[in-house]
Amino acid sequence: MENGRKRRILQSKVMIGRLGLSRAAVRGFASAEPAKFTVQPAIERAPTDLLKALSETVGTDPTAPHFAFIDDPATIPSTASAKRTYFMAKELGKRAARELAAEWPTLFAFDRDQPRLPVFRPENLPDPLQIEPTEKNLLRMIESREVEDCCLLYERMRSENIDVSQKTQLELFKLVAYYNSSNIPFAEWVEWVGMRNFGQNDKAEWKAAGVADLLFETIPRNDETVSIMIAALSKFGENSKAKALFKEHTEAGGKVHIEAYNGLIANSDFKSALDILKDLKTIKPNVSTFSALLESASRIGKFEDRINAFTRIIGEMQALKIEPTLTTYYYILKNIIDSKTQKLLNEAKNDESEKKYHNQIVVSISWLSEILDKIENKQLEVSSNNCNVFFAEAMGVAYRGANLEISQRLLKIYESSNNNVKMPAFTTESLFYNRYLQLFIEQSTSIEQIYQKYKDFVPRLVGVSNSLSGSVYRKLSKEAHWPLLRRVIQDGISAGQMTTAMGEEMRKQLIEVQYHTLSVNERDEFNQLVQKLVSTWIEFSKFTEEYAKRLQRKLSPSQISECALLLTRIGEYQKAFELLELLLDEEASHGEESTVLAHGYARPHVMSALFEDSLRRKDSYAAALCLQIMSLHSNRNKLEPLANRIFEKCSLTESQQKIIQSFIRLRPQ
Amino acid sequence: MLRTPGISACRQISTTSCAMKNKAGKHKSTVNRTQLLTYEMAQKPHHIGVRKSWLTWHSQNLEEFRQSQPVVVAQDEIIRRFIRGFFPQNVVISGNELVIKRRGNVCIVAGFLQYSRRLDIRRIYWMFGFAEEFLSILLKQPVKLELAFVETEDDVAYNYI
Repeated sequence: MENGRKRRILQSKVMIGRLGLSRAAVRGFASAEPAKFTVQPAIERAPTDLLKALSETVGTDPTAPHFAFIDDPATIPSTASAKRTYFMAKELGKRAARELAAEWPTLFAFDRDQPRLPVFRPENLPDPLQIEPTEKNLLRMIESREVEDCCLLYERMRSENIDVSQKTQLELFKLVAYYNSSNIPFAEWVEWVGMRNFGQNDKAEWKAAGVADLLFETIPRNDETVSIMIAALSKFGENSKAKALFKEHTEAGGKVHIEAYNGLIANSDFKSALDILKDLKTIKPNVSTFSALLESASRIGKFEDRINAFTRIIGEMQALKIEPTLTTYYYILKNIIDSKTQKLLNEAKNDESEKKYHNQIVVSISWLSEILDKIENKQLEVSSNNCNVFFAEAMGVAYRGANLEISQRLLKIYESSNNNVKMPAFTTESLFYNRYLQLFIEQSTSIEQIYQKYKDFVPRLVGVSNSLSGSVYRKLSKEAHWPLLRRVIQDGISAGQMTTAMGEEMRKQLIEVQYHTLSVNERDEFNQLVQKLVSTWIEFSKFTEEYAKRLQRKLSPSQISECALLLTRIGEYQKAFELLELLLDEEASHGEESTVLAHGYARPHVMSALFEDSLRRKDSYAAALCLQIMSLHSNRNKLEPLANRIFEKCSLTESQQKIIQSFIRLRPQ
Repeated sequence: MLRTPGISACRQISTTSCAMKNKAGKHKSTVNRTQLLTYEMAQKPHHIGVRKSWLTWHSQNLEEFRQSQPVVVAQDEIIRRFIRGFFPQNVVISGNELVIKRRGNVCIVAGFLQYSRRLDIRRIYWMFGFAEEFLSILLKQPVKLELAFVETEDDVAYNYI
């Protein structure tokens, strides 16, 4: 076969030589065998394979804003609270539109969709007081989990003597017992993500003599219904009632399900929990049982006993070959450090409490290290609704233990492809990354690495906050890094830090910048930033109109002196001294339209720097202005040498010298 | 009775031939060059196919996403009118310069809005959420807004004629 092919190629080459290319082509086509096409079988792919491949190649850009926000510099939020506000605003807008469409569906009848899509046809929920009181309607409501509506309809059916079958009653009982006859909590809202993540329910108490109690009395008692009732009572804090019911049922020879045991265990103290556990003879405990047991063990006051209990529980799980989940680890890490010790330490530091706290941190770090050993390289799946909090809690432990290595391991596990447990953005995830970034900033020695990390995380994953900016500024005080400083200040501007205490920190950091060490481009950036900051502060001080008064932030004398110094650094001498003149202007600090605070004083070291700068430029007016400002809070002895320096450096006329001398003489000694 | 004395009836009928001049896509210039043109407006009619073709890339010629042309035109008109009516203080160039993109079954509205007097970002987010959901329900397909903000209308100016 191979030889035949070679021969044919050779023949064709010879032919091309003899006949020319075009003729050879014609002859070749005429004599060739019909070409055989084989269609390759299609590679079988799942519907999302292509998307997965794309996402692996493209990845997420951590520096871009979250997709939920309007991608425009003016509308991208940078603080955690702004993210929450904007997200909720958008969601509430959507809800308003949905309400409209549900109320007036005929106005939205641009019906060109084939097939009809019910998702674009929102409907109002049926009113339980208007709807026909049938079992079918009740079941439909149960299915849509409208708990309070179900209760209303059921009560209406009872008052109208309409029979409800046992089966429906059981279904209703399951629903109302689980949700305590109230609507489902925000955490279970499916459609509205913002409400799910940001909404907070008050801790509910069991509704005594409610529909659940009524149904429990109506339907026949068996293991299932009693178990449901016990679990529900335990869930809503009716521990004594749950225990009494459990006792009553078991004494009558009944057996309750594992969920009821879990509820009872979680609410009991550790000793009683162990007693309940001993009753589990025929039923095998599950992971939730051990989570409940850990919850009960967390109430043990003494640290050593608590650790012993945790060890015993984990040992028992190993003996029963039950794999601990992230929820299990979450309960351990959450309760390992004594909240009391921490509180004591915060209130009054003493050696004993410090030692105790340190010991607890060491133990918790070693537990965390072992947990990480176990979950590294393992496929992590969602096991309960709070298992994702494990990561945030573990990062909290690493942060308190100031252990960067552990935190990096944890981050790697969280971001690996083996992990399918993701924290909700803006809430828990933001907390997780915030703790990591704070720890990294505090522990890392390389300012360049801090800059890179900061750029990666802020503001997308971590919101700008005073504590975060503060820790970066502390690092920058030790080692200068212009790009990082510029970035932190710019983030601070968009986070509204300019008018808070952080504004002072910004000025302090900018004054400390060694201007001559910056490159040409960096100097440009510095100039622009200073101009922007100073003009914004001045603008804030000028909101003197009645309607804008609440926005006004008056300039303080120290702020004016610092701004003036910054302006002189960038060569804006005229602006700087115009600003300084405000300090001597009575009208600027008094009256309805004042823009300067009446109290406070210009910073002495800033004023002396400005004074020196004026002397260097031999600017007698500027030097005299500085002297006049310094005279507000200095006595004659301090001012005299300064006046003499003006006479030395600047060429003054005799009358000018006399004016300054008499001015100094009039100052108090 | 109402005839103006001195003007005969035949003068009211124009008998001159029309110039057949193409005026579409051409903007009349002003004496003091105050007529604002955006980049899109500044393109001459013969450049449209070359420089503005990216505005018409869409998936309406793909089998699964095809809708009849009148529906698309109606949708465009609905979207434009809604955006103009809903953001009256924010639209630039009277809302004529919106770009409506169709990708799959998604309809994307792109363009510029201005801050007007002040930018209440919370309010803007609420309005974006409302507009997206309202149009989605109305058109029975996801509608997304990709509107960016400029401070004033002048920021979108490419040329003044």
